Amino acid sequence: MAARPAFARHDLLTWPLVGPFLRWRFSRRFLQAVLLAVSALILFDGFLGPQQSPKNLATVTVWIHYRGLVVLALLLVGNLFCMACPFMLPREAARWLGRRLGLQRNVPRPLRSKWPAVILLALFFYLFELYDLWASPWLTAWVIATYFLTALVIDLFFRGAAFCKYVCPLGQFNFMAALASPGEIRVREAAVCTTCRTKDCIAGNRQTGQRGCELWLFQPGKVGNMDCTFCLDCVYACPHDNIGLLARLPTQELWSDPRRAGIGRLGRRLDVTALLVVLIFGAYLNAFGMIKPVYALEQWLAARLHTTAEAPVLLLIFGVGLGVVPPLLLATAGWLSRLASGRRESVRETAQYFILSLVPLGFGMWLAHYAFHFLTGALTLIPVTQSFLNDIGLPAGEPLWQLGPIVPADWLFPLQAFFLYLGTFGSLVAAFQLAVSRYRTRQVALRAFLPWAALTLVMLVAALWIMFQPMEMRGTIFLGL
Amino acid sequence: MRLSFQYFLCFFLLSLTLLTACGRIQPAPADTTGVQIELAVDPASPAVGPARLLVTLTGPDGQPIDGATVEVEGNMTHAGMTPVFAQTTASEQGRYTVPFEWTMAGDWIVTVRVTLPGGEQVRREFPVRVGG
Repeated sequence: MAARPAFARHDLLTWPLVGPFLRWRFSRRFLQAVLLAVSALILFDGFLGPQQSPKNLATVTVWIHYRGLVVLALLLVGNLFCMACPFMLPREAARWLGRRLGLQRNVPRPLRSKWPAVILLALFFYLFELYDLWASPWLTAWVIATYFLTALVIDLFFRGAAFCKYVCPLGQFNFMAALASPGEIRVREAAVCTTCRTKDCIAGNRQTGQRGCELWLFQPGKVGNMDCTFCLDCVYACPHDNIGLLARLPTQELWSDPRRAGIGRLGRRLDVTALLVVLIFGAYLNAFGMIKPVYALEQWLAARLHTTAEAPVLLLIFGVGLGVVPPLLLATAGWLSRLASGRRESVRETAQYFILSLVPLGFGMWLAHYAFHFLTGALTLIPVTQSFLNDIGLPAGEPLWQLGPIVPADWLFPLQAFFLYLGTFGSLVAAFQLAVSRYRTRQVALRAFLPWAALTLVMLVAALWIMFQPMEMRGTIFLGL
Repeated sequence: MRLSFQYFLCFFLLSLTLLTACGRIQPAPADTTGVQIELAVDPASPAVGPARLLVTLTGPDGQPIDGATVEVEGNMTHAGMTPVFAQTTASEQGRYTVPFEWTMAGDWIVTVRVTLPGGEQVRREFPVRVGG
């Protein structure tokens, strides 16, 4: 077996301070408890605090800090939010109760897919724009409360991590973005696993009572970050201490499409393709909703539809943006790629295989968008917290409302462009590597790669155009009414 | 070790206690003064950059109110944006002109807080759309 490159031997679990903390069995519970307490404060302020978005903890922490920190963590390490997920603690309680009451059963086979999450994600993106969720602390608090309730109900009735694997929209976003991350939970030495007879990483450790992976990711066959919540259950369960949080080349798992334990091949699952479509093209729609031309488009569509209601106009935009444009682009690139390679396969097979290459650019788009909000508003947490403390009778001084950005305004567009170029580079590399691993010769691979390279560059231009538009913080007012 | 329900319950109760101890945030007092606050924006189609806000105060008897302190706070509807503050005491026939600056295009909520000559306070919010 070939030796791993030096950087790939970096294991976060062996680093000073952070390593011992993560290897402490209750580290995850500690992080979850901290985020649960933060969630409680957010809910409290969202429901009862001032209802202006920039002055409420719910809207500031969720739409500025949570989103910004999640994408930065995904860029720098991996799926750290799922590791500290605050929804886990109510889920544990629900599972305890479900077991006691004999309510728990396996997830029905037809529901074991990403389709529920695909539908929920598309619905969320639509409702986010329709109800201007970013502008309403009360609605933001309701979103969080609904999330807690849904997680609780699902885990009351179903075994395993049904909510994480099939339902959680936030988790699916993290899974998708983590495909391009530089960190991965995986075995340190494959040879150790070949001699292992107990398979505790999946079956659980009978001696310590530590459960194994609830998302059915059997470590020796696990490839990459899809469906991995970084929960470290496998790390704690492994009696050979053979699992780490290891470094890798970002996007490397997108260079081929091997069979993955607990998942199969990504390129052969239509539900995964649909998930990637919603998340990649949803990034464009989400950012498009914040720029000036969206007003003109909405007004033009409203005039054509003879309506002043926003719901049908947005439905049309989202229908086209997620249901028409992506299939057309993917089918065109897939058809040209198949034509260039001469391989006997359907356009759908080609498109489903190569859509993996668009993940880095899709993530780059989310990163560019969320980083904008985080970099321009990170410090607003200070006056908002001061204001919150003052409101509940804990003197915190006059809120420093002048605080806001953490970088000069001139840096914003270059930084956004940098994230987009990074994503584009990752997508081009992934597309080429995917082609090389699929076709017999480099010449054929190069020909098959070119349509996907063209699509990537077209999407880069579209992303730069969106980011170059003056951002408009809109909400609450539709069509000037 | 698996998380026991008792452990979880304790944590939730602790959180609940903390929140209960915090108490409810008091809602803004209802306006009983009968004072009318009107806001006009100059230019009428606001764009990013300097502007003037024209606040008109009228008493319950329809007479203009002078001698009040008018404070204006502009917030965007999106979190993460720093607010803009301005104030004035100068007025003519109940009309107060407040220099202001729209720092970004989009939807704003302008909160006008008035301290009347008698010390009573009145406030009102106005949505404003600012063009690019």
